[in-house]
Formats: sequence, C-alpha cells, structure tokens
Amino acid sequence: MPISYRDEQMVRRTLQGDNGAYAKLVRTHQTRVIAAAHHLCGDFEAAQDIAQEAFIQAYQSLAKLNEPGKFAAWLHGIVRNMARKHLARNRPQELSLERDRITEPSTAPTEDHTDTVLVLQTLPLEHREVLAARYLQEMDYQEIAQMLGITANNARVRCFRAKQALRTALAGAGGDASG
Amino acid sequence: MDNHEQWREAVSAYADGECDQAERAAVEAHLSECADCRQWLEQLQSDQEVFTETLMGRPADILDSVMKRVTEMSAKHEQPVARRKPMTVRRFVEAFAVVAVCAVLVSVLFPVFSRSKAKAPEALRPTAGLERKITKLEELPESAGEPLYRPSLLAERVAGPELRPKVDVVTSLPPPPAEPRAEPEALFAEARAKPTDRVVVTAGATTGIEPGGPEGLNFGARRPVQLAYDAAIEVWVKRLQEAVVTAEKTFYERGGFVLNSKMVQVETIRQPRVAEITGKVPKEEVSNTINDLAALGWVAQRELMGEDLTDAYTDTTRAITLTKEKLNKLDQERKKAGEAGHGAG
Repeated sequence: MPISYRDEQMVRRTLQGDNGAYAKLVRTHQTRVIAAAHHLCGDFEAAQDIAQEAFIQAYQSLAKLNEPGKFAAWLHGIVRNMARKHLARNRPQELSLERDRITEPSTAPTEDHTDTVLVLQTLPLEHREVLAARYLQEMDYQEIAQMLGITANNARVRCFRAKQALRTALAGAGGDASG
Repeated sequence: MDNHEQWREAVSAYADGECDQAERAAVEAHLSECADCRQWLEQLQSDQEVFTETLMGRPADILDSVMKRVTEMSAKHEQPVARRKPMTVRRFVEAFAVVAVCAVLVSVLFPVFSRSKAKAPEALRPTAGLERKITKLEELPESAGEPLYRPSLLAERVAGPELRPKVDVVTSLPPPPAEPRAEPEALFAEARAKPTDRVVVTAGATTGIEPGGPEGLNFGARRPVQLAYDAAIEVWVKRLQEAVVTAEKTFYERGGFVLNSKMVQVETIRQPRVAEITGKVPKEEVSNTINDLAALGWVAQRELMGEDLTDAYTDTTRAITLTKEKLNKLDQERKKAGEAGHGAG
C-alpha cells in the first residue's frame, strides 16, 4: 500500500540531500515498478533495466514533482514512457517473450506463472497500461486520466474495458470461464 | 440506469472505490437484486488477485544498483534541488533583500575564512573551489562584524566529514508497552473473512525546534544543534472511525494538536480504508504519542527521524539581529531628524 504521507516526507528529504530517503522510496516502490514494467514490455530482464532507469530519471527530475505525495503515480508515468520506448525499439515482442523463460533458478517462475504472464501479454497495450496503473500502482481514476491525458470519466470507461479484456483473456486461458 | 453494460461499468467503479455516495447506494441496491452483477464483482476481485500475484510474485532487487548510481550522481553534484519559482515582483524584492543580507554576511565571514585557511590541518583544508572563493573574498575590505557561523555555505564545499554538522539523536523510542494486543494472525484472518474491516491509520508527529539542545561539532566549533523530530506510525485497526477519533484525541492529550486528518481511500471493496493524521506534539511527548497510537491495533511500521535545522535556525537568528540593528539605526536617525527639525523651528 503506497503511503502518500511517507512518500511526501521521503521526497522532501531527498531534495534536502538525504540519499537514504531516496533508498527508502526505491525499496518501497521497486516491486510494483518492476511488475508494471514487466507487464508493459513483456520481458522481465528488460523490466528490471527499465525500472532502474526510471528510478534514476525520477531522482534527477525530483525537483519537478509538484505534489510529492503523488510520487508513485508520477514514477509510473516515467515507467510507462520508458516501456513504450523499449517496445518501439524491440519489435517483434515474440523474441522477448521467449527470453522471459530463461531466468536464474532462484527467481525462476513456475510454468503456470509464466503462462499467466504470457496470457496477460495478449492484451492490447492500452489495456495493459490501464491495468498496471490501477492494479499495480493503485492509481485512482483522476491520476490515470492525468497520465493518459483524458477525462476522469473516460478513465473510468477505459478501466472497465481493460477489466473486461482481462476477464476474457483469463477465461480463454482456462481460468474461470463464467461471465 | 437500465442498460446492463452500464451496471457492470458502475460495479467496476464501485470495486475501485470510485463511486460517489448516491451511485454507491444505487449499486449496492442493484447488487442485492442482480446475481449476474454480484458474480461480475466477484470475478473482478478474483482477476485482480490473479493479476497482481502473477506480476508481483517474482522477487527482484534493484536497490543496490540504483543507489550506486545515485551516490555517483551526488558525488558529481547532480543531486536534485528544490525548483525555483518564477520571479514575481514580490519575490524580486525578497531576492534583493537576500542579496543585501548576503553581502553583509560575506563581509563578516571573511575573518573566519582567513583564520581557518591558515590553521586548518590537511584533512580539514577547503577544496579547490573554496580556495578560489576565499581568494576573491580576501580582496574585500575586512569587516568589523562578529564572526558568523554559516555551515550551509561550507558543508557542501569543504572536504572532510569532521566539518559537517553532527546530529545526536536524543530521543529514542522505548520498547512497546507490555499490554497484550490483538494478534496479527487474528487480524489477518478477520481481514480475509471480511476485507472491508481491514483499515489503516497513519499518523505523524513533529516537534518544534529545540533551543539549546545538544552541542554538535560544526565548522570546527561546538554549537548548540537545533533539532526537529518526525515520527510516523502505521497501525492496522479494526474500526477506523473509532481509531481516528482516539488518535486525534491522543494529540490533544499529549499537549499537541492535529494539523490534518483525512480519509485517503473511502469505501473500497478490495482495499482497506485508510486515514492519515498529521499532528504536532512537544518533543518530550513524541515517544508517548507513538506508543499511544501503537496501542490502537497492530503496528505495521513505525519510524523516528531527527532533522538538523541548525543552518536555518542560525540564518533566521542572524536575519532577525540584522533587521533589529537596522530598525534601531533608522529609529535613531528619525529622532535626530526630529530634534533637528525642532531646533530649526
């Protein structure tokens, strides 16, 4: 659960030169950021690189963050842009999906886990973006709208469409087919 | 709302905690009648679980690699700094005043610099950049002002950790009280059974400046260090409203006050409701306040941080002194002018 008060304090301290505070921000958000990047680009190794670069870019641009309490949403915007650039550079995606299966044994996902990741990758990018923002970063409709440059009402509709697509994809993959 | 698709969209917003009061009541009424929408709500919850568990279930740690680069950037002075606002007329006037004050400070700093340059041992020598600054300062006429302590000017430029302000944390959290609390497992079990009952309270307590606090070594001299404390605690409780009222009361009972109390997330299905309370209490009550708040439920996180405000305190004190001196001078001139006027009359 992102605690905006804590983020706000840590951002403020980082701006005062306390790098330990930034380490706390990285520790708090790294799992969600890597997960979001993985979902967007489909490659776990690349997702770690994207997450690392996103944290570095966020650190460099921290002074431009108007609302420190919204660090998580702002960081997700950076991750989204980087993932889009990565996708534009590395087509076709099939290669990266194959690469996703080759990982260190200690962190290797189970076969079911990888299959579900691949199922999620079948969703269109626009749905993946909305799902990552809503479910991983827990952004509200207003924040999603701001990130996508649309109205809050439109964000609500997009969330609904993305959830419908997720349901269809999971049902098609042999999950709960009802609904 | 007659269209079934519209109801499903409303249920989706309801699951995200994004409905207003009227829509929430309408959705709840509809859910009590429509089995199809109830199933849709359950599917949404189950899909979200599959989604987050799939993507977040793979451990990875980039902390070390990120912080290594952050440290490198800091060493090259590429760290972020607070952004400047566009300069308005008012800010221009303020900036002009600051420049004027700085000019005075530079002139009174001069004797301090010259002494430290002559006597400082190798490890305490200023860096090359500061040497250049000192050369420039030496061209200025010496002021008779009192030596001024300005660590903010020096801390970033002077080599050697000995000259950096040292902070002694004088307040530490005592061990938690011995009274039995609700077992986390019991709370988790209850939370799983009825997710809407799982709630979180976050509270922070900040002390004011502590005048005449402990001494720290600062620019080669022992100075009273001015400290402020920030404490934060995250507590999971069973009943949010009751916990919020108790937490707010705690601030008052400990001689402080509530700055801000807000509900961050209201009425969601899958996630706990969260209240954030920020308040201030006297320094000596920080530990007690945190312990009182900890007794509200199960403590998920708690933290105590000290902040050195010596630079800001010294700057402000100096600015007040200068302003008072200026005011006195003006007052004297006004009196003189008045006397001269009477004499002429």
